[in-house]
Amino acid sequence: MKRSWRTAAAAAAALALVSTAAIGSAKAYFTTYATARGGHEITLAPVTEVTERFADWTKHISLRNTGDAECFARVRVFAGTAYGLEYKGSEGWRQGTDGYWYYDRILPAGGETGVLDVEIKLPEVTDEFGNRLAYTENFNVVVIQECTAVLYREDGTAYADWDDVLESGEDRYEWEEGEVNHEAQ
Amino acid sequence: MRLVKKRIPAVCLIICAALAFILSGYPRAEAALQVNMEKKGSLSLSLGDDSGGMGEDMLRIADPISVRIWKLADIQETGKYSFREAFKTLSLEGESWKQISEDALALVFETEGDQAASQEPKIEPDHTLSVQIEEGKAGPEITHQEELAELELGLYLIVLGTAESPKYEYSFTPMIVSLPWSEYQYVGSGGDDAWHYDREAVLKPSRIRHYGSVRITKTLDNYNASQGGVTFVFDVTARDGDDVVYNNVFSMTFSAAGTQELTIEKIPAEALVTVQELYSGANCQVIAADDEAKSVPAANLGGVPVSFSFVNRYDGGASRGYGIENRFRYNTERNEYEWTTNRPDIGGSSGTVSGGDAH
Repeated sequence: MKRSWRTAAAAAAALALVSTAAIGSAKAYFTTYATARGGHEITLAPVTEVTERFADWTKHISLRNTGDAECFARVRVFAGTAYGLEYKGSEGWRQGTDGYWYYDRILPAGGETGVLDVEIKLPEVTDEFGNRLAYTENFNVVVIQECTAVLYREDGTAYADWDDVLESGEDRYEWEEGEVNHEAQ
Repeated sequence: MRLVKKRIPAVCLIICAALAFILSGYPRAEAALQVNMEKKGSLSLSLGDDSGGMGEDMLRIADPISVRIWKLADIQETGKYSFREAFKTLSLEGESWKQISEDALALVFETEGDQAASQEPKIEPDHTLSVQIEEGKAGPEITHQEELAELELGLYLIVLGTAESPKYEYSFTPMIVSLPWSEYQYVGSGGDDAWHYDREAVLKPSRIRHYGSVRITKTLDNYNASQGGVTFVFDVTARDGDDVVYNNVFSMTFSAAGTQELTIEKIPAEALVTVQELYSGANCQVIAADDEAKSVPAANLGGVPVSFSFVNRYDGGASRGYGIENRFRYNTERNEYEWTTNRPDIGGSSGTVSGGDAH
């Protein structure tokens, strides 16, 4: 009985998703649910794609919203401890306290962020006389980009909840071999 | 002030004399006294003063080190050398003594330089033995060299083979040794011309580090396909004591549940490696992680990659995202870095940038 109630509630939620699609503020949860139920994706989940250019040891990072829903975006860059990363934020980017750089504006579908510059500082290498030598070690720099749905408070103000979870746990879904499967009813 | 003036020339003389002795390294003139042709010479190979701090590790050289000795010349009663038939082209006259070691090696081996010691010689050595490095009373010493206690008098080329410790490959500079020898041979007039029939030859080792590999095995238990690919970032750090000898970051991106492996090569052998998962994807959590330091065995000595395993699972997160690994590889010929990414499908993902001295 409990499970039936949950299933009904989920179905209602899915219906709610479709009805709110036009206003573009649905949560990613609904996408997951619709995928599981119908086997086809309602592309309301935020999707961003990173564009990176590189010149003068500076990464020029921007994100483009390639999905159909508006979203918030953030970026983080990882490198070895010997390498300095000097962020040069541009308009709209804000440095968080958790290592991420946040794009504070709502990124509409098809929209693109301003450019976040990150300069890579190579380690200094000197010989025994203190003369500077060329740095020649191979290394990697990993750029991470994330997006999350735009949520709205009752007063209509938008916000991002980066810790938001999909309401799809418990006994309703299980994930196997990379696919989202609906549990047999 | 006067004292300083007087001391400077004296110090210079001492330094010059010392340099002449060190740099010459070869017997190039006969001493005044006659050689006792009835005697035998005794050669003793030595590591000297701990071989520049290498002695402790050299004690871990398990296999015997080959020593091959060629008699290049007989010595006459007057102290002059008469080169043997195979070495007739060698000379100690004029400036020739400076490169007699290289010239002798060229006659014995096909290849000159560092590879020579590992090659089969064109001329059979007069003595072949295997020595070992063992702990002695005063530190590491070379043992099993009794065969060198009684050698015919003459001029010798001594070549040691390469040796392997678990951490380094050692090579030794070939030596030219005279039996007997005199100080006069090295410093000329003013040097003692007495002949010495016992000779300690101090080895000149050099070494290069062995390398091994690290393997990261990542298992993603489950995966929310609708959230798109998920990227994990790892920090790989190798330390010798407090010194970081390797550090880099790597990524793995999953588009399905399952297991992936990543092998990182050229990690200094015997360094202690830690692998830390810096980033667990936009919507995954770590279930299991290898967070202890592990020693890397040398790959060329049969060592298998040291393994680190991580297990993650989807945590229900609503955020999504992925990473791009930017790879900077130094091109030594062009003196510039080549930049590529693991996502060539995304625009602007390759290029070059000026060498590492730019910043």
